[in-house]
Amino acid sequence: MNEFIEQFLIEARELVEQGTDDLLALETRPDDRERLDSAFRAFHTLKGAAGIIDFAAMARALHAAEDVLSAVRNAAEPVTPALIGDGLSALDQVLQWLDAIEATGEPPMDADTAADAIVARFAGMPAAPVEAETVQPATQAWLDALLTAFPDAGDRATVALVYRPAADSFFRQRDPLALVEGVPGLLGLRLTPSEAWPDLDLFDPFTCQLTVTALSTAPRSEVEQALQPVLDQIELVDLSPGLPGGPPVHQALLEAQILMLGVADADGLSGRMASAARVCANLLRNLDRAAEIVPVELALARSLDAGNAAPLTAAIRALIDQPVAPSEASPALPVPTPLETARSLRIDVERIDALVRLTGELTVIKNAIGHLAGQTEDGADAKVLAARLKDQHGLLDRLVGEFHHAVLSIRVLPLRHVFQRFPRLVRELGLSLGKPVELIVEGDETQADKAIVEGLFEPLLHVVRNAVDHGLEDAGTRAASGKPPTGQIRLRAERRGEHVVIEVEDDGGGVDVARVRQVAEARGVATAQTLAALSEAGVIDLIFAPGFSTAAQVTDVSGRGVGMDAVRAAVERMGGRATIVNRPGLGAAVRFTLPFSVMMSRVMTVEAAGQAFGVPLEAVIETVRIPRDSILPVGAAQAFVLRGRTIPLLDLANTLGTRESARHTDDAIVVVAQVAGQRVGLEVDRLGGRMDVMLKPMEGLLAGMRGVAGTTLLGDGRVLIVLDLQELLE
Amino acid sequence: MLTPSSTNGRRRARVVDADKPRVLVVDDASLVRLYYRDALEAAGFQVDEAINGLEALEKLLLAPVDLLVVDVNMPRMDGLTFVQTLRRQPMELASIPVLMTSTEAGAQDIAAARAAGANVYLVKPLAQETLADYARALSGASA
Amino acid sequence: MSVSQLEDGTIVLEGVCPIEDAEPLLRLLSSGPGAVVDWRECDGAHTAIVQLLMASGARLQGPPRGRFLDRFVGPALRGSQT
Repeated sequence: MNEFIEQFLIEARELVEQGTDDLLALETRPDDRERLDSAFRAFHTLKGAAGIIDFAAMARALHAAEDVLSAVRNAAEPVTPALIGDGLSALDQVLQWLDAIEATGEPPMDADTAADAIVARFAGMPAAPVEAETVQPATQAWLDALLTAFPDAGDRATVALVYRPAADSFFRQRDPLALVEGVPGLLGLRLTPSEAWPDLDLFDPFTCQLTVTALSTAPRSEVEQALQPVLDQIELVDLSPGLPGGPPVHQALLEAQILMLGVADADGLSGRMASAARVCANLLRNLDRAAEIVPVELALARSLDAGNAAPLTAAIRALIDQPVAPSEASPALPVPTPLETARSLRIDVERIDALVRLTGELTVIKNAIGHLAGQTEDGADAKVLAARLKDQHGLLDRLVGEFHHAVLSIRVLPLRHVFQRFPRLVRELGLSLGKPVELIVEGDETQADKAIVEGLFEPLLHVVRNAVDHGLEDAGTRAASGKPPTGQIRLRAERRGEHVVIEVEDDGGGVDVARVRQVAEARGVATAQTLAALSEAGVIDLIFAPGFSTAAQVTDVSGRGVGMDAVRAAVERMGGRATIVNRPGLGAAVRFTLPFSVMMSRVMTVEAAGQAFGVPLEAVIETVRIPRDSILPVGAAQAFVLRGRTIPLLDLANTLGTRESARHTDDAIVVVAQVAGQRVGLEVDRLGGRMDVMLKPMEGLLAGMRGVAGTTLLGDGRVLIVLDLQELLE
Repeated sequence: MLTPSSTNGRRRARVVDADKPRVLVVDDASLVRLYYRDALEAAGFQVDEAINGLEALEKLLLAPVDLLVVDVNMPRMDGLTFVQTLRRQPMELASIPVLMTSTEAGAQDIAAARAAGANVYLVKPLAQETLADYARALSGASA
Repeated sequence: MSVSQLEDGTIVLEGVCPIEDAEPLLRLLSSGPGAVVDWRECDGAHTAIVQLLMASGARLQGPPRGRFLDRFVGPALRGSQT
């Protein structure tokens, strides 16, 4: 069932997103029927999906929500903010369950309490009214409902019973359910009100108003025995395979055709009759009773002529009643087996294959080292042995690095996992602060390592809180600056080179630098002297300093005793940086620049000063040859003009400080790249091909080198240094 | 069933499966479609999918099937409307057996499915074996 | 008596609930909408009790201890609410 769990996770996340979108839209336009329908469907489909993976608690919780949405939909009432809030909470709970399933591969065992809480939230709201069992046209409507309610029991049941206890049963010292409890081989039970329930105020607790229907696997005689005292109030129907209709599924299906034909509606009647006849013919064929098809088809012809289902109904009734023993060849329907639940998550086959291949290579090295150990014992030449050991070590080193990355690549997740929780949070923040806020999420498909995705929630939450609380101005100020009353928070993710950049941007007033100076001085974060020496950006950066934000300053929304220093610390723990981009009057953005730790990159190889470099392909715009005399000195630097645009030119070897490259004589070979929105030309000695490389974390000498994303081994044994252009040019 | 255009390559590929009964699963939830496909293919059916009633009608007009497995609640065209529409088509289409499934178990839901023209109505979740049993019985496929 | 009410309004069914419990249970159920009935300690219940639970649409906190209630009556009550 692995693939079902996998598909479930994908689909459920989409549905949660859809449901959240719809509910948030309904908040703005409570009368939007399309959104309401869509929200209803999202809950409904989620419930169905939960059923398929046997996650009963989730199905139960969503059922409660769906009931209330359905009632609102049927009553054509507007949606209340309370309902939206409860719906969003339910979806949030679903997300937490999804995370748990993703982690363990199976539905959590302890979900019942949370499900109860959701059911309770919705229990206070008016749900769709419970309709009393409507009287159906055919005599055995109860049997049909019973077999429908227990589709899996139909094959095993031998007897179906309906017990309509007399209204005065209780006075006669009868307890109908106790009698039914005594029925052997009970498979399923249905309780229906004999008539629509009266109001509780008018309810007579001593009148029996229930009808009981049940399925049993016991022989009819035993069932009759158990119900002896009340047999006059009971109807029994044999379902045993030896009887006319064949196996129970077949009999139930024949009954169902009669019920369908019983619907008094001329519209589509001939179609319904034709399909009923076709189903009967199929059943007979399936039972190896094809000879009996002819009467059914004749009856259909009469029914179609008359525009009346009666002849066909009679023919089907005859099939059920006619005592024809099923032929020997009649195929027995298999007993359904319970669903298997999943135990694990599926991982891309390619990723597993990579691990298998690497394991094979490791085995080769293990054998080689074993061989070398043997030679040591035999007294082989130490120098030769040392050289070979070193070779093997080199191979092992490369493989370990690849293994590391192969394992990491299993851990990649889209940021949607963490972003998904914010629409509801932002809505609640806005409500509690009395600020209308709209959240815009961009790039949530961007992938990052699982550890990063999972570690992002806390710092992001804090930053988003701050943005709503401090970033966005109050309605009056916004109006005065000509901004729309609803504030905007953008939550954005983007892959930039070897990094994943995540930004929380508000369209508020921006950082008040003077105020930051004041606060920093008042709180002793920096002295007046230091402050005077700091640039504006330096001052803004103080927001991240320990002691800058304290509980006294922040409101109950932002204040959890956590300052922006904790945010920066969290981001740095993940190997990233946190910065603020300020646009006075227009807003501010907090930016996390995080490593994308699975370093599978497409690069273009180039050569400079005899060294092979990889330039991330996503940054490369084009390669050009520039005549030396077209290169212009700009101060100490150089530039060239390409299609009317002046582009700074850097010598790659110089920039890296590898060594002074030799004076070039002919045209400069230039890679034009886009870095942080700017075009830049990198002069290289030679252009290579394009390749996919798996980066190794940097070690030894290279570890301290700026502008290097990592290294990888080329086929010819040389080391390829993959550049991080953004860092290189900073 | 061979179609007149069976000389072209794509059609010929279909002839290979001509012995298999064909079923169209109509459900907006991809998980449900996957789950049904898995069960029905194992039971020897050739399975096609549609995500709502409209798409199902379009597919049926191109090539009728031996059985329809239809969900009730779907966007654009729900299952009840779809089956009602189906039953008004020419006999070749109108007579296709319909197995309707839904999470709703109320008497009024069953009655609505009947009135629309569903041959049988089963409550989800449905064990794969059960679906396969009903599908074989309804389509006349040998077990 | 095997029917009681907690301070938070939850109605508790304990042990085997005979027909005599029907009237007190009806009173508790009629005192307000959205009643919650905890039947986790319930071993058995007379049909009169079960039909009250069904007619009132009370939310049940379970599963009940009695096997018949848990295996058959509980699912039947849930099934009746759709």
